[in-house]
Amino acid sequence: MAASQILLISNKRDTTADLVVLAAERHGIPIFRLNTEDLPDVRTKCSPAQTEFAFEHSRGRFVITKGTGICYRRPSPPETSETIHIGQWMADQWQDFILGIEATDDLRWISRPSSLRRAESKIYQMKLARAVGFKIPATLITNDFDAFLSFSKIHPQLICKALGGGLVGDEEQGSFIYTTSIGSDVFPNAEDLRLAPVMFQENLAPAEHYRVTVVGSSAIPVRLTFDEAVLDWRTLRDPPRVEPAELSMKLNSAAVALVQSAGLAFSSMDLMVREGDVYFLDLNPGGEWAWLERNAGVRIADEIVGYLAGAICP
Amino acid sequence: MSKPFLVKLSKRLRAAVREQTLVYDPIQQLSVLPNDPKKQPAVSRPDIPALGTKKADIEKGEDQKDIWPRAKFS
Repeated sequence: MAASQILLISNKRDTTADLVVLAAERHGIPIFRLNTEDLPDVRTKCSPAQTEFAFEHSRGRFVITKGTGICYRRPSPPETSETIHIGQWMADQWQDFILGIEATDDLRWISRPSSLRRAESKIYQMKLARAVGFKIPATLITNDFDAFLSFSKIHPQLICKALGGGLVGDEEQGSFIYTTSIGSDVFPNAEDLRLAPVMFQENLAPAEHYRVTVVGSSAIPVRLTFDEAVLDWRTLRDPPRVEPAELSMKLNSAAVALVQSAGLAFSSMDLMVREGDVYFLDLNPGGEWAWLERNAGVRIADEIVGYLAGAICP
Repeated sequence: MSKPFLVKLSKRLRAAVREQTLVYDPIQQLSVLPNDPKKQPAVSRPDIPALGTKKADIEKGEDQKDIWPRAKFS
């Protein structure tokens, strides 16, 4: 593997980031982990004239140089005992500092924060997916009840889901919006619907489920299977069974092209196959992959480190 | 009383798979179990599989997890 170095920007509790550390060590790639909640305890320096960033903490000093691989996942704001206003101001300052790393040329990112933000848009994702050749389920995003009614007459089997994140509230006390079938027991009314747009899609079930993780120019597909028919596998008590799968060359290229067209070097995506047609559901630029490593035996951490170290072409 | 349609459909999060209390080891740059004299990487231990799957995290969705969140206050 090419000699390089990796800066891992994450948080201490992210055990998936631990897998990146272990993979880097396996391949002899120096890796420096920057946990963003600890930033006030890190000595930082940026010289804009040279766009040089340096970090120093108990493990040593790290200077971002040409060719450095930056793994950016799950940043967490600095923890502070300051008031909410001062604390938020501090977090904003650190965010600007870290995001400023994007000004440095010739870095290899997984993934650029600016690209991540744009690629999270489901509408944008569907446009890109269609452009590279995926089929898209018939979709309507609306807060207009009449538009919904018209759409439901054309597509009587519908599901609904959130356009953005499905989490309502915080991760400890909150609730979550799973994909749900529209039916007599679940049917919007005009007053509720107008409050926020909803994504309605034709229900593709029954279909086969695949999750494809793309790293650089590699697509790593796994097939998901379930003991019971389920619309949203996240509602299951246990993760679905996963096994390595194969994609046709055409699909493989389309998956890679989709991620690259979103300006990303990493993303997972969910696909469904029905009667031989492959449908794109969504892109998860920050998709979890540790469970696929453990349960399907695919080697994603190695691919990530290989890409960041420059051993894999973008 | 009106309420966003999807919010009415939301379900309480299943009790998260409680990850064992871990200690971050700054030398290895990863988490280990407290009182583990060998400081074996926690994520490599077969006796705590939930760490490897992050089931609880997946259940909460994977959207916008890499966007800088709001500040936390202790």
